[in-house]
Amino acid sequence: MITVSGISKTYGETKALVDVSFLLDEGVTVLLGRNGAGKSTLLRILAGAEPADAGTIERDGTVLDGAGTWRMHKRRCGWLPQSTPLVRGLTVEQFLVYGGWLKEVARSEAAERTEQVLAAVDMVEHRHTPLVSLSGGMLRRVGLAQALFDDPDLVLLDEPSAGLDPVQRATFHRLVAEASATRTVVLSTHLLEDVAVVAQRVIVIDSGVIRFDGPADELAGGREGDRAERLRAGFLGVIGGDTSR
Amino acid sequence: MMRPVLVPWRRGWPLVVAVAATQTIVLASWTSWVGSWSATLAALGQGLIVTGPVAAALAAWVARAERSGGTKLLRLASSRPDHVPVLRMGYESSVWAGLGMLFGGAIPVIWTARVAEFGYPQPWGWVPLAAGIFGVCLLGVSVGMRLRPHYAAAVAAVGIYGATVLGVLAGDEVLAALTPYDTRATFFYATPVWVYLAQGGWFALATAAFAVSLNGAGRTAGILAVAAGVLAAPLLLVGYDDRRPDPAALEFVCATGSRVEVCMPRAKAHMLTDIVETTDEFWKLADGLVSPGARLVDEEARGIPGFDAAFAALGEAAEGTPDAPFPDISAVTRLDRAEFLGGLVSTVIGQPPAGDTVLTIPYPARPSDVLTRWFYDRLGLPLDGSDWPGAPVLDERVVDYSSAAGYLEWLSDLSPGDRQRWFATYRDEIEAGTVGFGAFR
Repeated sequence: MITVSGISKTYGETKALVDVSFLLDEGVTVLLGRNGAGKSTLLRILAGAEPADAGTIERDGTVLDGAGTWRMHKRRCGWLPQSTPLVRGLTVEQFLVYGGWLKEVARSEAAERTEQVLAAVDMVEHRHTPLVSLSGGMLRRVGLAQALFDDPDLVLLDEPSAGLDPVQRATFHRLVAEASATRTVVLSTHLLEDVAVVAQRVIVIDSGVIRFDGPADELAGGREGDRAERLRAGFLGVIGGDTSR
Repeated sequence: MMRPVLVPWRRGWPLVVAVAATQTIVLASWTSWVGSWSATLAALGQGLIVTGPVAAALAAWVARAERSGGTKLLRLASSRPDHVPVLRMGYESSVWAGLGMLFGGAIPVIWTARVAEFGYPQPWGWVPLAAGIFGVCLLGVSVGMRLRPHYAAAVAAVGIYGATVLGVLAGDEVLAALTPYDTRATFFYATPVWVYLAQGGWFALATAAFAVSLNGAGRTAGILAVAAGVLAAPLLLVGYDDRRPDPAALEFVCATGSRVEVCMPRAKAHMLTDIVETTDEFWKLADGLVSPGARLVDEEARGIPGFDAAFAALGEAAEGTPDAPFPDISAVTRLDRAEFLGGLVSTVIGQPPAGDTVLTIPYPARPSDVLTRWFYDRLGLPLDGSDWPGAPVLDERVVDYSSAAGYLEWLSDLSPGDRQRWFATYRDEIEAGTVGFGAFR
């Protein structure tokens, strides 16, 4: 259980997050918002890559307020940044082992974990391929494998399906669904298709403020049409882009 | 068992190639290392003056990937302290750079192993070299993670070179005491192992402290800095005068020719045969000016503790050599015959007193000029002063022999026995530079 309380973040004059609070539990939670709404900032703060200006994060009742608690949190947290970490000169396998080392995975476990995550994202045959040779879709799958490497109970995915073609996106949705079976997955996106397929819960962020937090079906409402279209209408209604709701 | 690699071969090979090439070029421009273990080690260390900045620049370039948004964030979100990946990357970069250094140093080391007749490899001497490479690579990586790649490489290279220059300005002895640029390793001294270990240790710790401090781990950086200081402090107390002489290097080895015996420290004994042959050649020509059966002793090591005892052990007949010039000192250094013979000639033929100095050029030949020219002609030495730095110019551009041609001819016409007797008769005046043309008959 992750408890986010009163998180705020400002860059110069820009308020990226304003008093953001919510709870996270198992399943897929989608952070939905326009570009620049504050989704990536929130995920960076949750991942521990960036400090918040104000507010607290609790993990299973423990406030993350020092190096020790953050270290424990980071070890149990997998994160796929918005731009896939493309380390020139590394192969897929080397990159995964590097990521595992950053997460303090024991050397004795690294080989087994590599096999597992490569199989999970269907990249076993590309293990010795240099990262720079991979397509965008493959890179995102490697990024997901990296995020899942240490079998974390919290997985943060920042725009994971951006730039993927429909087939790749479908594959990615399946992988996310599998990953969320036993984990808390937080996925940020501005693509309503992602929300329609994988979201159990949606948090709509706009201008750094949470506008909606509830089940995806509640955002879709009782409208007619396919789910993505209903979510679009609900989303626009929440952020004030559509007054017909 | 899988090992995480941050700088695999794909990223590290430029470090290997650049450092090896630089090291090879630097060492190829020097000859003083040839064949001497201590000089080879010193040359490898001083080669860091060039290879260090190159390694730092390449390490900064290699680290450029760590600046990219995703990778940087990945590192920031890792559970390891921020400085650990930096240290690891610095270490891995230094492994490649060290490999380049090994390749670049292989020729001198193998060559030395083949030809060295004295000394020993001193493997501990490689410790400060390894630490030096680690340190510069770590600093390069630290810079490379912060600045744009092109700026980072330049800043790293200039920074390392600038730090070296500052070290020289702060005091050559301090630099030599603290770093791999140690110039104190010579034939006659042995560097204690603890000095090498302390040099390597403090430098690695100090650079690590700097890199760690850049990543916000102030407490760890402080501990490392204090440890570096503790290791460096005793090194500052070890100066040139505190080195431990190597008794084996100071031990004299003598060789006897037909007219002279020459003794040299064992460290230079490989030149003994050449020196005896050359000295015999001169002695034969200068019979009468020099005493037969003299023992000449190389005194370069005079002043080093242990020299006097070794010198005394040679007995009362020992006397110092004339200024024996060796262009450089190494196990394959060969005698510069011309300069050595020129030195021998100058010791038996003195220059006229200062009051007789001639200011016009060309000036009329003096007795000492005639005698010196005669020796140079017979020994095949050049008269134009071109053969070695400081050689006298004795040709017609400077000395007018028109009034002294007869004396030169007279000296050449003497039989060896007559010349020996004439030299013996005027030996003191010739040596003092006061002999006159009146004696030439």
